[in-house]
Amino acid sequence: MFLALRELKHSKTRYMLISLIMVLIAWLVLFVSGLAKGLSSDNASSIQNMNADYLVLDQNSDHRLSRSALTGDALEQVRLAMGADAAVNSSDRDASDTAMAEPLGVQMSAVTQAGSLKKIDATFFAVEADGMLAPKVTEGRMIGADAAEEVVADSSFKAEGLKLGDIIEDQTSGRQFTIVGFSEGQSFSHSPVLHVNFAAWETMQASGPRAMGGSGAVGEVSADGGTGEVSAAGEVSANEGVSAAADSSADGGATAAGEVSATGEVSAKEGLSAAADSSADGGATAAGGASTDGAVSAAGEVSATGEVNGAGEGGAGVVFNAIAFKGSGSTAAEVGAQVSGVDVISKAEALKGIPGYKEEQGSLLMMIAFLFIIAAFVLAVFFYVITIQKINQFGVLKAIGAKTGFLARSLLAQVLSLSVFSLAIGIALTYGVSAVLPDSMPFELNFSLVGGSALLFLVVAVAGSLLSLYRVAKVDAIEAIGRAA
Amino acid sequence: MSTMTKEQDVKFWARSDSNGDSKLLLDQVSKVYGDGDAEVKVLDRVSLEVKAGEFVAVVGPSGAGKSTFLSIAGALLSPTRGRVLIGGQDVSKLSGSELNDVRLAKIGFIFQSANLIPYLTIRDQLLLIGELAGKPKAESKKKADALLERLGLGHRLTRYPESLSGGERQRAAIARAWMNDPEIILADEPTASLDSERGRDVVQMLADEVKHRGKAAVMVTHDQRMLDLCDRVVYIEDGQLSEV
Repeated sequence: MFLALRELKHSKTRYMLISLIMVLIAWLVLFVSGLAKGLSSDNASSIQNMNADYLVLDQNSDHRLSRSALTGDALEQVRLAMGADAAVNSSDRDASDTAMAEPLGVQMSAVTQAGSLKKIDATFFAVEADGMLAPKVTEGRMIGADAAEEVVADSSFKAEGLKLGDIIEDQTSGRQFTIVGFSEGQSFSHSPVLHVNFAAWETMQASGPRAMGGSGAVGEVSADGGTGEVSAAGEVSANEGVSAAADSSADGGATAAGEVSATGEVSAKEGLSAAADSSADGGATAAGGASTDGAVSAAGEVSATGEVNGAGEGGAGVVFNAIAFKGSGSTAAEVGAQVSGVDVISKAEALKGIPGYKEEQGSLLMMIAFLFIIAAFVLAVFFYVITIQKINQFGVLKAIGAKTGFLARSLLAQVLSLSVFSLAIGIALTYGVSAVLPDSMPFELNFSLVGGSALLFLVVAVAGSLLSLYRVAKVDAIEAIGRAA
Repeated sequence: MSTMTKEQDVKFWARSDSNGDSKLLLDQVSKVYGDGDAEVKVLDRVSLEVKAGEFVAVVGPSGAGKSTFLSIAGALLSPTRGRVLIGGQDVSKLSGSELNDVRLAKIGFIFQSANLIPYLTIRDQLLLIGELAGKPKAESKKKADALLERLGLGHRLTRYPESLSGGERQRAAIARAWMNDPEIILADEPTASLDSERGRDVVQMLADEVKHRGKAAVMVTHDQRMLDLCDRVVYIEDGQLSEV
């Protein structure tokens, strides 16, 4: 440090220039990192913030949430498998964890505010209102457990002029929902998330599209094995909203997304579970969309035929996209082994399955990586040139008794103090700029990101000085003799 | 008495062992570069003893081996054959790092055109030596200030080498060389970049210090005008050393 600081002080211009370059690089690194992080959460914060460790998806879904379709059977099997694992590893988990597997419905759609024609991209997440996947409500209240017409919206909807109590209409199903609460940091594939419960999810699945055209309409199907009292007559278009229905159709059954004529007092849930079960029989799936005011009679009738085993849990009978659970890697392995036809993936893998997420992050990551490489080379070249210029001086220093270690420490001290100085300014600039950025710009910096980048920057700086260190080590004290400097 | 034939060796050693004030001793030192047919003998069985209080000048034409001689005497280079004792310690078989310590503790160097570190003030040039030797800062500072005062640089303590005259720089270099209380000072053409008057001042100062401290100095020079300030002059040519 004796030499390092004195030289920095003496050759201010020279070292100011190099730190200016490093400030700019550090600034850019941090800025792009913040942008990458911001885009990442703008894209997929609902998955990142999800209170779960693993997701179970349909095996043929290519790890994409939107392509996956699972039924209540899978949920039961996952819970069984987790229970078995918990029994084996009972020492490190309590029994309540066995219930920590919940269904998750994901449907990308567009909504309009009631009375307006302007469409807003949105993604519906169906969760159990009192379950672990329920979002944290920052304003208003959580959706009711059975209320089929309530949503909790991401706070970015506020920017669209929506507020508590406003009514929005799903463009796919035509269902209307009341915003009862707002959540923070809930987005999926760059669209804000609307959380609904499974009661609402079922009605959405059942209603079928209204405005999307009739392509792929199933037409009228009377339920196989039913009593004939289920007159299914819905129109289904083959879009994402009803992909679940389409999938079970591919199993050989006919899908009736229809309105069930309502006579009895059976709740929609039961009616739907009946439908799922008949699907298991190879028959038609009647995804009956019971409007809440009209009760479903079909369920009771089907039950009479013995094909209903009763759906006690919300959503157990409906088709959803994924099952989320908390647990360790061993639990995940256990579930993967015991439940057939599914893939168990971590949240990180699920993120990659979000359309565009991997590509977006990949290109930004490449930019950051290149910036680090550039930083290393700029430093390497600069210090190498300076070292070469000073070879004679190093010779003198070695002749008067300075060891290579002393000179190496001196060089490293210079590199590190320049880097720390540049980083400090770079960080300050980054925060300064982020303060004046508009809110709509996806930019997010947190301490660990800044700290991590700064640390990596220092490592890169030291790596860049290795070449110079090698030269310093090779300098022979004899250089000092017989030379007129 | 410094150049010797083989027959004198035994007698020389017997006397030198009993005489503790030998600061530098080169005994039959040879330095050979290359090997086989391409072998170049730069120094050929050179012997020299420098005692406390002695100021020895080494003269000779370029290419005669002056620099190699100084490098070996200064523990910068290990001899191919022969022994080198600095302050009584045999340094001819030491490793590079050990030679570093020897230079730091026992040798003061004065190079051509000073070779001060450009970004250190005159005082810091001296403090660096204390820093390298791990001495307490306050002690180094006191010593540096006293040395510089003595060499007439008391008013230049916080100046950088670039703002000093050539003579002042060489005086700073002399002060630096004394900083570690060396057994011996080795000067490599210290007057090369000075006019004769200033050069003479610098050498006079060096000679005075040697006497004052009871240490030894060897100066390589080709400046004939300085030789009267030295106690002895040895001549080097074709790798052979002879007393003048």
